[in-house]
Amino acid sequence: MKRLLNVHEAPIILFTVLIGILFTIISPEFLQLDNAKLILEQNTSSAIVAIGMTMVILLGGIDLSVGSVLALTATSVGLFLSHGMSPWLASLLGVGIGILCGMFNGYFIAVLNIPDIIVTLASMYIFRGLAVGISGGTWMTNFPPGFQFFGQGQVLGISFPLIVTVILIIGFIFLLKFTRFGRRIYAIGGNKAAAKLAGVSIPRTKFMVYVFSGMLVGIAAVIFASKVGSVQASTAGSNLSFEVMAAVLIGGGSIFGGTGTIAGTAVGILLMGIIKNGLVIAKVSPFWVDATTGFLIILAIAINTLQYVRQNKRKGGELI
Amino acid sequence: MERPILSMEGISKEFPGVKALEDVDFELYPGEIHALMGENGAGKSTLMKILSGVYAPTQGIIRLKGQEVVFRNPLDAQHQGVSIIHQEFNLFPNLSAAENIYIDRLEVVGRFGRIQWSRLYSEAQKLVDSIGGRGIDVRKEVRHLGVHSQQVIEIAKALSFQADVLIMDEPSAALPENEVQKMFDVVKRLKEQGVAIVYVSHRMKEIFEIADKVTVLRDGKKIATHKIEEVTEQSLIQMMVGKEVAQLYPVRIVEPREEIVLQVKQLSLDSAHAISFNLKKGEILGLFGIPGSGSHTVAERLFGLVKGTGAIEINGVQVQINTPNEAKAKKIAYVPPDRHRQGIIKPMSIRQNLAMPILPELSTGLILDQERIKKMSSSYMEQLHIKAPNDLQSVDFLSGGNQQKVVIGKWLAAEPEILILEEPTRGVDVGAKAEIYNIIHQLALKGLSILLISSEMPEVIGLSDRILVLHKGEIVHEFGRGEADQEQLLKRASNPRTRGGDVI
Repeated sequence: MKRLLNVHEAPIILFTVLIGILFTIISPEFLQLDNAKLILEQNTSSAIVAIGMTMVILLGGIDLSVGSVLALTATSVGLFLSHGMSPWLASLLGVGIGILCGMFNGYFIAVLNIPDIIVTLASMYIFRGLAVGISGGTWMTNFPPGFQFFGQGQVLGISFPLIVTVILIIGFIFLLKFTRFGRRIYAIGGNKAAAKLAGVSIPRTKFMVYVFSGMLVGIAAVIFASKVGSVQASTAGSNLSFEVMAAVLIGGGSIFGGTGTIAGTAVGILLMGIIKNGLVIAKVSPFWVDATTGFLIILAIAINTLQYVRQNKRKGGELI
Repeated sequence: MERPILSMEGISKEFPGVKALEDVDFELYPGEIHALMGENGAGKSTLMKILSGVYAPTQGIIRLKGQEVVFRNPLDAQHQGVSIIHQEFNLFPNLSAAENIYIDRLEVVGRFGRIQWSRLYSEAQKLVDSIGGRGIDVRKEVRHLGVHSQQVIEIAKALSFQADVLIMDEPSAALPENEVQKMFDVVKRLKEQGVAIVYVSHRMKEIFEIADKVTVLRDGKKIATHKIEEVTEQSLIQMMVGKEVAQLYPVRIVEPREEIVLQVKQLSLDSAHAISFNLKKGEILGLFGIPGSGSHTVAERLFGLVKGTGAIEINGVQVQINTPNEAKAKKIAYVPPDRHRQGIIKPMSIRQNLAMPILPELSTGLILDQERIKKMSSSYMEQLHIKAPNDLQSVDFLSGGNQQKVVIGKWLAAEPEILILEEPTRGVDVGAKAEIYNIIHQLALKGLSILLISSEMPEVIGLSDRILVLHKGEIVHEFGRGEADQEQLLKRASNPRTRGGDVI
């Protein structure tokens, strides 16, 4: 019990529950089982992308290109399918394209040492442009029935994408907590100089993080394409980077690196999902949804920051 | 006779244009605490960087347990049994103490590459307990630990590599007074376990309390190694200082000065220490202290970079200084110690750097007056002898001495009454040093009041009209012009309560 209260994510979990109660008071439909399921299922793609983003932010980095990677991957999968490729193979190739995109980012950031914000700003345009280019500007649609399983299928009555998401979350929590690779990410984010002295290869770790991130975006893209049933290259995932970054920060991640967990990020995604869903159910005018969401994000991050400041009253020059 | 665990033979190190070390021998025996002493720039840190694998020597060899070794990098040196604890700790604030000790190490990785957390914690706790760190919870994140505990974690980390040789660089500088003794206990325990310790410190008292032997370096050469019983504070200082200072300094005639420009009363440096002093018109007041004495904080307080308690009076009027802007408005200027990080903006031109502190004064309305900037800039170029083709040259391409003149110039442009100079000649060659000293002297003649904070004794002695000696946040002595020599200054600064030292 004591451990539960000590959990790093405690304040944000509490905040999420509070928001949930608030929405329930406003409109009782919010708490229905169907609605809960809807919230979970609606946010599987962003949750998967957020796993990768958590690792990037833990390194003290940033990735603006995930939305474009999602568009490129989803469009490619659509093209493969339209040429009659089997859904499994098309999806697998799609994940491969995600990995290639990650390698592209990773090469410039980790090997050539160009700042991540510059590289991913450029690759955001490159990948989006490629997606629009190969699609010829048209909608990808009419996917074969076999492809629907990835986004809409069920196993034992549970949504397949949700199962994939949960497995990935658990897998990466394990990776970050129990492998040297995972701990290196925290070490680099915490103190780069000390990490170097401890023999940690910073370029290799960074590169791998971007590769993993690309792979995860690839998986998310397959689920996204299958669930929506159509892809428009110019708009797919257009706000994804910022949404996912917000979730990581809400979940206790520090933009300076070193602090944050995948569990926290998952709560962050959930909170964002609840807010969006709740505002719709509460019949808030759709014109006001973005502003309200933004305001709640600031509130959530303020809660985290206050906790951080409280724990860290000393002059933490090195932390920042 | 026992064989040395480590011997460095004929070590030389050259950097472009500088011979940092020349033919230095250094031997270390198991279970001994060997102090390494010398003035700033004597070559201590270069020698230790070679020993810990940061630099490769230009000449000479290192033997460890009789075998010749080469350290490719610090990690390699650690694996071979030589660890260093830097003055600035190298810890991960966001990770637990235990993980800091065992980060990225295979010892705690089980099957399938799985980190065994329970073993990690118990091994770390055992190690920390064994060096007297009982009471430190290794599961705690390092950012929540105190300074002494952090140092214990650093030591534990070093020992986790089975260190035979442990280098400690100014280990007491970061510690509050009451924790130094605890650190000594840890060090003595290591000595009993047979670890050889190199103890780099300026503090005489500590050396005599803890060291078995002492080696003194001066100007990159080894002067001598002695058993601690064979030396006195006096003889050590003599060895460190060597001959008299050459005539680098302008001749200053001190007239009696009356007009007090700056009066500081009970200015707090930290929660426990506060100082009072005054600065007169046209005076150069030296402030000298060894690392950890708080002299840097004095500058930060006066320039509004850190807040605290106490009263500051300028020309008899009490003032509040909470930000650098307020300090500027009160006609205080500050030339900071780290030119590269705090002094110049490298890609900008000399002209732009000079104009920086007084942009509002150089504007007409919202528009910068380019003509006035140009005039101001060329006048300081000339006055300070800044050597560059013209003032549009970016300061990045200037020599250290000329960069430093730009930093001084930009504050002169603000026309201050009080100029705080901290380490004004750090990393500057001798010729430029003499020029800067002359500039300082001329400024004082014109009536500027100067507070000179420096760790270089010769410059403090050579320039100051009065010298205040700071020791652990207290002013322990005041010298008038011509009263101090390096020996006395170092003695007061490192251990104020020695023979006949009447403490004020």
